Amino acid sequence: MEILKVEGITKIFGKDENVVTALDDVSFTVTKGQMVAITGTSGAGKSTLLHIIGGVEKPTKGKVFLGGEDVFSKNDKNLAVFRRRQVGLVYQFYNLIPMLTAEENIILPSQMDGRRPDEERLKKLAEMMGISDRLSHLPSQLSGGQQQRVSVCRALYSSPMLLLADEPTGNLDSKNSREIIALIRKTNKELKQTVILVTHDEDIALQCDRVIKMEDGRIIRDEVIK
Amino acid sequence: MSFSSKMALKYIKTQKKHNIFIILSIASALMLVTFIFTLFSSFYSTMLYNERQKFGYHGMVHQITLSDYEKLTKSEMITKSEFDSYGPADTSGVAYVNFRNDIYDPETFIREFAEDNFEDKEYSLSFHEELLEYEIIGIHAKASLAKKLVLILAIVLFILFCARFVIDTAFEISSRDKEVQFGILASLGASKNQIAAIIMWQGAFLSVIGIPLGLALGTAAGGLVFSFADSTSVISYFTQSDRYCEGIFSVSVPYLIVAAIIGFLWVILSAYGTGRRYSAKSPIESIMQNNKKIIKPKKSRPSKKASGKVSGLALKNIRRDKKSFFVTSLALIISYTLISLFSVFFGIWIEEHRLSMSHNMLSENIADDYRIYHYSDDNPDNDVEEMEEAYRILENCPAHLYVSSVQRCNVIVTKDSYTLRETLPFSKEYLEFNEKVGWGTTMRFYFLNRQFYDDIFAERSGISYDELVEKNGFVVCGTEDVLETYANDEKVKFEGSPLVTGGDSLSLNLYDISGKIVSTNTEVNLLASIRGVGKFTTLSKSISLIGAEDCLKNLNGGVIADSDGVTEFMIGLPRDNSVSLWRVDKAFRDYLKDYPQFEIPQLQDGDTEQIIKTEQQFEPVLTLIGVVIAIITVIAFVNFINIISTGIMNRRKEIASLTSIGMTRWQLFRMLLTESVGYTVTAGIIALGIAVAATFFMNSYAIRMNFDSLYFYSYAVVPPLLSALGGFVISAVTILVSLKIFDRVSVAEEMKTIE
Repeated sequence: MEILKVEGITKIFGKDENVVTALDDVSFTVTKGQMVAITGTSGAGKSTLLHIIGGVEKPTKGKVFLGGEDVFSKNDKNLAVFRRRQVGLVYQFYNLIPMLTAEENIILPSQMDGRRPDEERLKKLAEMMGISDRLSHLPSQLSGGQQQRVSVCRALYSSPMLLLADEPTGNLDSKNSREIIALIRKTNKELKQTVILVTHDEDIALQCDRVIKMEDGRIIRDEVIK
Repeated sequence: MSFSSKMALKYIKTQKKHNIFIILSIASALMLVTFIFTLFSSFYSTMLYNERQKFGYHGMVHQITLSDYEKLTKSEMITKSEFDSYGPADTSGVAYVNFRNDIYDPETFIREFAEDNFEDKEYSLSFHEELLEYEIIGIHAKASLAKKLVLILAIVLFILFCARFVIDTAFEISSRDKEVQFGILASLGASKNQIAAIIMWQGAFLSVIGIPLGLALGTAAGGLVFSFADSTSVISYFTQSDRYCEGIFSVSVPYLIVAAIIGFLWVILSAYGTGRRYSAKSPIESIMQNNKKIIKPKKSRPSKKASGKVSGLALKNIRRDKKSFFVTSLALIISYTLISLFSVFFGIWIEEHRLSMSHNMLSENIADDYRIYHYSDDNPDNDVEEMEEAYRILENCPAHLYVSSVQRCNVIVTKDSYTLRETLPFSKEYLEFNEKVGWGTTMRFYFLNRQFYDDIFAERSGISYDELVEKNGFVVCGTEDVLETYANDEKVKFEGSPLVTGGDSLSLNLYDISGKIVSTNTEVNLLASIRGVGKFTTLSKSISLIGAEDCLKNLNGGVIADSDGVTEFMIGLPRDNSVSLWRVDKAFRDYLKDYPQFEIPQLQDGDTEQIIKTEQQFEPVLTLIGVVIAIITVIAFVNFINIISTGIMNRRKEIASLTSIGMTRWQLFRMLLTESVGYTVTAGIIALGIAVAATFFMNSYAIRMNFDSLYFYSYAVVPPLLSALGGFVISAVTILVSLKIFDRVSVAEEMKTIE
């Protein structure tokens, strides 16, 4: 079942002689439960594409449909709600709020919604990520790997349609990298979570169901691995 | 609790330094507003109280019969009344009345009432204008109040603008540090309103401390300043009273509530504005701390040689972030302007205070003369002995003391002038005027002697005596309204007299029933005018050498004049010399040392003690004014330090990059300092323009209000320049400290930390 449809996305930064075309008419679809890797060299447009899919960056042209809904037809408020409920973002530098504990960071999206924290879901995710004993710690008291686990937990907490990970292992050592990818893979398998992962690591990409390779803002290859 | 309020509390718990800064900003902004409100409220209460104490009725109906009075008391517009008959057997007398607040025009009301009801229409009216005005009764009071309100509103709006800016800057600085976190929150799904609400809640929570603190500090500061004012004669000056006036310190609860509401509103608006600005940014750009600003090459500006040097780099830095340049410069401009205006305002106040003290000293030292001059029970015009006594005392009066109160007066009073009056061609008009105005007018004659004019005046003014006489003759001068009445009246034009060799003057003062000068509007001066040479303008509504301004400007030290027989003299000195009585005395003696024919009056022991006492009395006021200006300066510079240090902290990565490619600490310092010079110089120049323009209007207003000290204009030139210099020093120290902090961390670590 098609869950994501990216249609003719173009993103241009700058004006006049300083124009940079980050994405040039990019289109593809993703089906539910798929784990897709987007690879490419630096400046290929992978992160920009991921940010547009996540609704944190607006395209210059084109459309993104998630679950059949046109993401950018929403107003600012609904777009914020979309980010809160429909997608989960994991960044290279974790991006945790430093003065909130791990638990508070994880439940942030539900708090934004004004909902009571789902203790069961929190417990389940924390166990899955192996951070149950670290929930009351501040980010500064956690290792890089633990912080990234918290970040993944937070992204999954709202049961998003799509988990978007932007170089999630870029700031981690090889051991932690393997563990984080394994965890993301686990969520993909066990929770049927659809994942799009940006990486320049070929080994990580090969662990995904499908690899989209980009260059100069265009898709130059799109192949199913398994 | 909502998400935003929870987050706000989290930020408050973890960002203590920011909290203190925001609280202090809110408190200082509120303090400024409350301070002004408290002073206004206290001065208003004082003036109202003293006017009521002086005379508690709004008006008087003279020569009213008892039966008419009884009719009048039945009018619903009269709230309180009293009848005072002229004698035990007399049925007529004076009716003292108070009116209802909603009366349209008391005078019209009485006239219409009398027209309809009085049996005896031969009555006259007088009103206690000040009380009517302070109690806002009648159309004239309302119109007068409206005019004053415009000025008060302008001051309050300016203060409110400054207060808002201080709060704005605090939120901007606090939020800039949280920009990445706002980006993260937005990427996680926080809406713009939620992000704005976090800052608003933060502002609201901190207001709980900041607003009461500001109200308390503002009230305390207002009370302190007012108590000092109360301990001096400043209040008497403002109440325009010749006697001591009791100060009534008033803390107005409605004003405090208004101040608190305004403060809270400002906090919320500032927080909301900041929140909207930050939430409007792209989440990713905020997270990356990358605003994707494209710096375009300036084709029209070929790169200068300096561009490779640190100064060139600094200029490029200023140009690339115009918003930061604008905000910083604006903050400095406001700060410099505030410091300058307060300095000038207090300068005027000090001057007024000194003058009022020396004036009081005059009245204390020669009380008899003062009494006769102002409060004679009999018409001084008819009492030669009394007048002669007055002149005798004046003759013994230390001239500089008198000059301190008269200012710029190059004239002389002798008893000859009294008898001289009768011979003047316009004496008939004067006497008629005197008759019309009633008793209580005095007549003074001022002379300019040819010999002394040629010796001193002519050389310095560049105009010979003959030229003066040939070109001008003598005209009636004074305030605009009187001028209009007399200036074109041939009857009062004076072409000279065998007894008057140079100039002449007629001064008419009107007094009300309490013995107070009602208005200097009624003063008429006949002075030697140099019409055609100098501008025919009035500097003030009170006495001045109208038309002779250019001459005076050239004198630089004073004017000396005498009359036939050279019995005494007066000297006008520039303000710098006249502010201190000691300096006046010294300048006076120095000036006259070349004229041994004059007998210089010696200060008496009592005078010396009085001068010491007076100058000691002034010390706490000066200290307080210094403290107030220091507080404003500290607030301004703390703001500036924050802006500079935050700016540097935001550019840590860039600075680390520059260091990594070999820029020395000294070069970095010079680069950052050059940027600060850009801010301080720009702000200094603009503040100078604003301050000079503002003081021009302040001076103009003060002159209209009859501030004696403003015979000499005072422009804010030095304060903005000093502020700019202060800003420069402060920025240099801030940059040094910031760079010192950087030195603790290695360049590699610094860059890594930023990543």
